[in-house]
Parts: sequence; C-alpha cells; structure tokens
Amino acid sequence: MKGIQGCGLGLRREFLFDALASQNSPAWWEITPENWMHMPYAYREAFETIASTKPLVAHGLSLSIGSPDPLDITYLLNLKAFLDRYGITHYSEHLSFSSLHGRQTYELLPLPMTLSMATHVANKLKKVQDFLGRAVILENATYYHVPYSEMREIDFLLTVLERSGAKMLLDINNVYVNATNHHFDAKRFIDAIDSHHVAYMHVAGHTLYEEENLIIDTHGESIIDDVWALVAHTCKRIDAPIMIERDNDVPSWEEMKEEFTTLHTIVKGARGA
Amino acid sequence: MERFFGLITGAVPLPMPQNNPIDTYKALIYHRYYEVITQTMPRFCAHIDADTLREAIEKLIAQGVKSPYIWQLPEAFARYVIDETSWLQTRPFLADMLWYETTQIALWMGIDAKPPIEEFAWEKRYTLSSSARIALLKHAVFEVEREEETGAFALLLYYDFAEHEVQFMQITPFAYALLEELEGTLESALERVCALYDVELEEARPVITPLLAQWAHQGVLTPTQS
Repeated sequence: MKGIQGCGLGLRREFLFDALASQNSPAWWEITPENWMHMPYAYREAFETIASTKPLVAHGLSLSIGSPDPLDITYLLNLKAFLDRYGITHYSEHLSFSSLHGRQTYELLPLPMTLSMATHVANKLKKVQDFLGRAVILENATYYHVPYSEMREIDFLLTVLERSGAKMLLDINNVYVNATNHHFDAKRFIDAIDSHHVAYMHVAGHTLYEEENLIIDTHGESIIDDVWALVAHTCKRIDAPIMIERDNDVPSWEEMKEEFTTLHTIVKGARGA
Repeated sequence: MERFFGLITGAVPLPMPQNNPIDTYKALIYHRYYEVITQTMPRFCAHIDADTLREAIEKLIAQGVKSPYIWQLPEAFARYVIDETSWLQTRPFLADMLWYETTQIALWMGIDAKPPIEEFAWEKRYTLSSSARIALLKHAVFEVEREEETGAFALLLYYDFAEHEVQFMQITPFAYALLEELEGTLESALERVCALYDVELEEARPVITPLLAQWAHQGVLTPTQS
C-alpha cells in the first residue's frame, strides 16, 4: 500500500509523549479517529508533530457499516474533516455493526453472514467511499455469536470485498480468535485470501476465559506464541504492512517497543528480508 | 438483527434458559459503558451502590446513547441521572458532584485553542473564557474530605494551559459576582459589583487586581473587542 510499509503501531495517548521523544518509533502509526477528532488540548501539539512526521492510518470504530440505519452524515462530515486536516489517505473500518436506530453500543457486533447482508455492506461502503473521497479498507472482525448465517465467514468476507471493491485489513489475531472459538482452521482461512486484496494487517493480544472456553479479542494482553506463529505463516504469503494493536492495559513505551521488536523480527524472518 | 440487538442491549428480555453468546455481548457492552462512566466520574459513582449503578447503566444501554463518540458517554449518563433517577433529590450533594465532574470532562475535552493572553488592564473588556466555568455550589464537593459539607461555595473551574490540567479555585462571592457581571469594561463591572456589596471602589480595586491579573495571564479571562 502506498504511503505505509513495514511495521506500524497503534498510537495511544498512554505513550504518546514517550513515542514522540523516542528515536526508534515505528515506520507508521494507526490512530482511532473517534479518539482524536476531539482530542484533549494537552495532546494536540504532540499528535500534530507525529502526524507531520510519520504516515497515519485511520482505523474507525463508529461507522457501523452493517447497520440498516442510514449513514450518519454529521459523523462522516467530522470524519472527513479530520482525515483531510491531517492528510490521512488510508481509512479502515470493521465488517460489523455497532449501532441500531441510532443507539450506540460502542462494541463491534456480528452481522448475519448472508448474501443480502454482503450486498447491503458493499452498497453502503461505496457511498462512504464516495463521501470521504477515499477507499475504505475493511477488517475481518471477531464474533462470538453468528446470527442468521447462511455462509462461512471467509465466503461472506470475500463476497463483501468482491462486491464493494474494498481492500482488506487482515486482522491475524481475529482469525485466530474466531478459528478457536468457532473451530475452523486459521491457516486455511488466511490461505483463502488473495494477497492482493490485503492493504495491511493487524496483530494483537486477546484474553482466554477458560471457564467459558472462550477467547475475547481484548487487545489487552501481550501477543501469544500461537498468534506469532500465525503471523509468520501469513507474512510468508502476504507482503503487506503489519502493525500491533493495543487498546487496554496499555504498557509502557519500553514494553511496547519490545513487542514491536518481536514483530519486526518475525516479519523479517518470514519474508527473508 | 433487531432481536439480537434488543437482547444484547437489554431492550428485549432474555428468554430462559439464557443464551451464552448473548450474555457475552451483554457483558462486553456493559463493561465498556461501566469502564468509561466510572473512570470519568469516579467520585460520583463511588457514592452509588454497586447494584443501583449497574441497574442504571443497564437502563441507559437499553434506552440507547446516540453519540458515536464514546467520550460523550459520561454526558449521556449525567442526563440519564438527572432525568431518570431520584439520586440528586435524595442526596443533594450529588447534584454538585455531578456538575463538578462533568464540567471537568467538558473542560478537558472541549478546548480547541489557547485563548489570547494580553497584559491585564482595567480599561479593557473581558469575558469568562470558554476554558473556564463558574458555579455557586451548596456542597464542598471540590474537596474529598468535605464533599458533603453544606454552605455557599463559589467555585471556578479552569483549564490550566501551563500544567495541562483542569484546576479548581474556591473564590469569594464578590469575585464570583464580578465574573458574572463581565459586561462593558472591567472597571464598570467592578463598579456595579461594589454597589451591590456596598463596598468602596477604591477599596476593592487594589485587593482584587492581583487575582484578575492572574486570571488574565492564565486565560481564565479573555479580552474582547465589544
């Protein structure tokens, strides 16, 4: 993808100032626009310095692309103004919904995996892309329940990509979480994706709830070895930029850098570069 | 999709036996709301017993919050508390606490730019900056140890551009009245407040000048043209 390459990191307020002062910051940053569109004044200068020195990718949370609700034009106007202001060309969102009848859950909720939903999402995506003047990159989301589905996740995902023309944000941890919770083969899922469809990739930590026999995509823990192995497998085949997402229990910048170094090493090893 | 959304937001009662994936989503949404509300309004929430708070948050989720920005959730919760609960009537100091914590959030999140700072002068016209708020409180909620103490407390909350923190200052009723009277020049405002308090202008002026100069320097007072 033009503009970003190599390894990136999710920018969080918890380590914003340390990252700014660091000599070893990632090649690019991903930011959550909803968290920075109305940023506290205390962070503005540091954010603007980072935005002026490294490429940014915006990874949205509130588009609710699968919702039957009409698009929230005020939200989109604010989003577009934010993306334009900071010259952000890459914008990604989730294949999910988070609101219905204007009521927000602030969670990523599963969509019925049906042809009609794939068409609905694709049509809505085209409108968003026209409005924002940018391609929307779509992430495979986690789901703990599948309401009214008639397709496998991989078929649903590929249908949406095909019908919308959107590129994919491949979240490797999400594949691992879904594969474990819903008992499918994570590697086969990844191998079914055309590498040319992938704009960039995520890797993150998750939380295992042993009693419930369930993994939740918390982004609140270190990345486990099995996910690192899946990253290595993926990077051998897909030569797309990749980054770490950490949203909860955000560690110190030093700890974050250690995990980032691990990512770098694994990617380098897998790609032989 | 409608039914699923209704189940996970609590708008539709769960059928028995309970469906575990639905409970998972209910728990995720509840946790998200709870975390944001209790982290941004910690002292207010500490006075609500756990079951009552849980019930209120669950009702708020079922009722639905409209903003796509999660940082506006505390504001929605405050509106819910005012409109849908009797907490502020039964424990009046909570009304002041609610104002105190929601105003802190508003000032922390709502500053677009540093206000213009000019040298202080009595002849200038000033307004209270958008980075500051004043209120007359009936409880000393701004001090943890005194939060239920009753009285008349004039309070200034302001964004401190040097420290990047929201600060509070307990001010005199006289200073509060002056901040409310900011129309025309500062001198004319002081004249009106002196008349109200039956205080000699020449007596009040040297006493309050350092405070006003400090506020002008901190951006609490913003110079205006009209």
